[in-house]
Amino acid sequence: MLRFVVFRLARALITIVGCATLAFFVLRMAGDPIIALLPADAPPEVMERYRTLWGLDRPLYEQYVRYLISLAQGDFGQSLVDGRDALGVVLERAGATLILGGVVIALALLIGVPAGTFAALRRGTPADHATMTVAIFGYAMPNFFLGLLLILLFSMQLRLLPSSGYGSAAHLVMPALTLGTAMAAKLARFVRTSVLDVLGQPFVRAARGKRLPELAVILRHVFPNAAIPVITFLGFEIGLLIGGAVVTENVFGWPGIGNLLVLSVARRDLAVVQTIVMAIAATMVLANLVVDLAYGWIDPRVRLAGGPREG
Amino acid sequence: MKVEIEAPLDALRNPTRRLRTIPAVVLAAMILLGLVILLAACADVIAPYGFADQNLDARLQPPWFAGGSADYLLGTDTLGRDVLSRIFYGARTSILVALGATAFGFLLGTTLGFVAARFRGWIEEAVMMLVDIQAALPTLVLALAVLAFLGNSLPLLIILVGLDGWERYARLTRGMVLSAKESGYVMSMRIVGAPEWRIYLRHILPNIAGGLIVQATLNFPGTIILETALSFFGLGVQPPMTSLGQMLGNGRAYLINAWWIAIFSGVVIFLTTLSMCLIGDWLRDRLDPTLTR
Repeated sequence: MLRFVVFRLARALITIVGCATLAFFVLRMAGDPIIALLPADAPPEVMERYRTLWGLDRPLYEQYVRYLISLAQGDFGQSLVDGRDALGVVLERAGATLILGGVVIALALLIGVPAGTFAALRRGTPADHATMTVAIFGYAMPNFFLGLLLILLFSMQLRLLPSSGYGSAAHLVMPALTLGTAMAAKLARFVRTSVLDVLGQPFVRAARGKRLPELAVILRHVFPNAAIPVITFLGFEIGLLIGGAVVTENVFGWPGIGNLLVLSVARRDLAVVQTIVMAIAATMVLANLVVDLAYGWIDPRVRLAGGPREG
Repeated sequence: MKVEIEAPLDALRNPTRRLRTIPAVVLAAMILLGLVILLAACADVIAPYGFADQNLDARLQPPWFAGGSADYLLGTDTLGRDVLSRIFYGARTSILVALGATAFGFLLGTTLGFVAARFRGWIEEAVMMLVDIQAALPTLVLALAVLAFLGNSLPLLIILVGLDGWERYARLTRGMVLSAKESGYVMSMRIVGAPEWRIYLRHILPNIAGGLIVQATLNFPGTIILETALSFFGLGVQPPMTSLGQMLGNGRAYLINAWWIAIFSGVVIFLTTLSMCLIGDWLRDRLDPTLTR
């Protein structure tokens, strides 16, 4: 188990460094941030001064090595806009994104798991078809369009909810629905398939054969076995969730990291954009690491087999 | 191709039978998608106005059914441009970008997947490392940053949108090629001394094509949504060209007094992705016999 954990950790670290490298070179090749940041008529001496100040006059490889070293020391650079610590600027916004993300995942689980299980148990019936039809509508719906429709309905027609902002539960309803609908829908479809797979297994027939109440069969025998693909799915889904959060936060003016990203990209605030990319990559890698480790915890067979890829 | 193999003999004798096995919903989705593609392809011929034709005397006209005139069936936008015509042209741009991006991601991912499975060793490790990195960076985030810093061009947009999903093709291809390499038909080809490129291109590729095509179909809605999302932020397709996402993004500011600018383009995006999802699901179920339904 220890070797497995160490191997996974090393791999995660390499992936994060890879993401940092990619972000660094792509953004540096994208153009001179000085030109973008200073007014076009700034005197050359001023430009030179800032270039030296931020180390942009050094060769690219030297900048890259310096960047990696300061990353290792926990220094993410300074915001080119106001000179504040880039990590601080990003962390300040993390709370809002985490609240939104947490509510969305909870919403998706609360709707998706029961809906998918229900459809699987009623397989082939009109109830199954109806559930799956709703699900496919939910996940084919682009989130920015759903967001606009919700604003049109709840803010402009019914005047029930604020169309943007942050601070109360009412502000959270529409962003959470916008982001959660697609995830709940996908989860429902996925849970349905996983539960169907398990329902066909001999041990489920055995449990039913010994007259275990249906609820106990599902909770004790079906769910634990259907959980593994569902957890993998959730790990993958984090990426789409983050991408979706960028859109949703901007539609609803939610002051999270996605909002900051679009703002910083428009301001060409290199350090902040880089830090956001790093933060997102780290979250994704961490989420998948947790998923990998959760396998071993849920399914002892994985531990014996030595790794989930083979399992 | 695989469908024919799986179909019972009488399906071959009676070709309409195979058509009849397409569920009504999927058939409807195919017709709808075909219609969108047809209208988009014929934009030059059927659009009543050009996509950039302005008529400042007819700004913000509502659609005909909401009190507007028959001159502008779906109303006009803030510059007096015909929404219906712009939807035809916008759909054309969106579909072309999505097709180009899918082709790019498909080629890149499949090639790298083949390379990883053929050479194994450190090459395989390197490819899988790239796959991990791509999987850890949501494409929307990367594309936003690159487009904003690098400036915008259509080829760049297609490449960036295409990067979304290449790692899925690479993973899938690698897995399928690895298992194909162990299979009987590849072994026998080796024994009779067939050249390696021939085994990979003429024998393994056709055998795994079904799975790859299903993956491409399932990816396509996400690709359209990604392009529209970028254009929605004003970073995708640039004016005077238009795309469905750009119209939706522009219309967002006028939701209160001119809802039609945003809503109609949104409906077209939604119908397109919905049709693709329905078709993709059906294809996957048809081609994957292990799925119970």
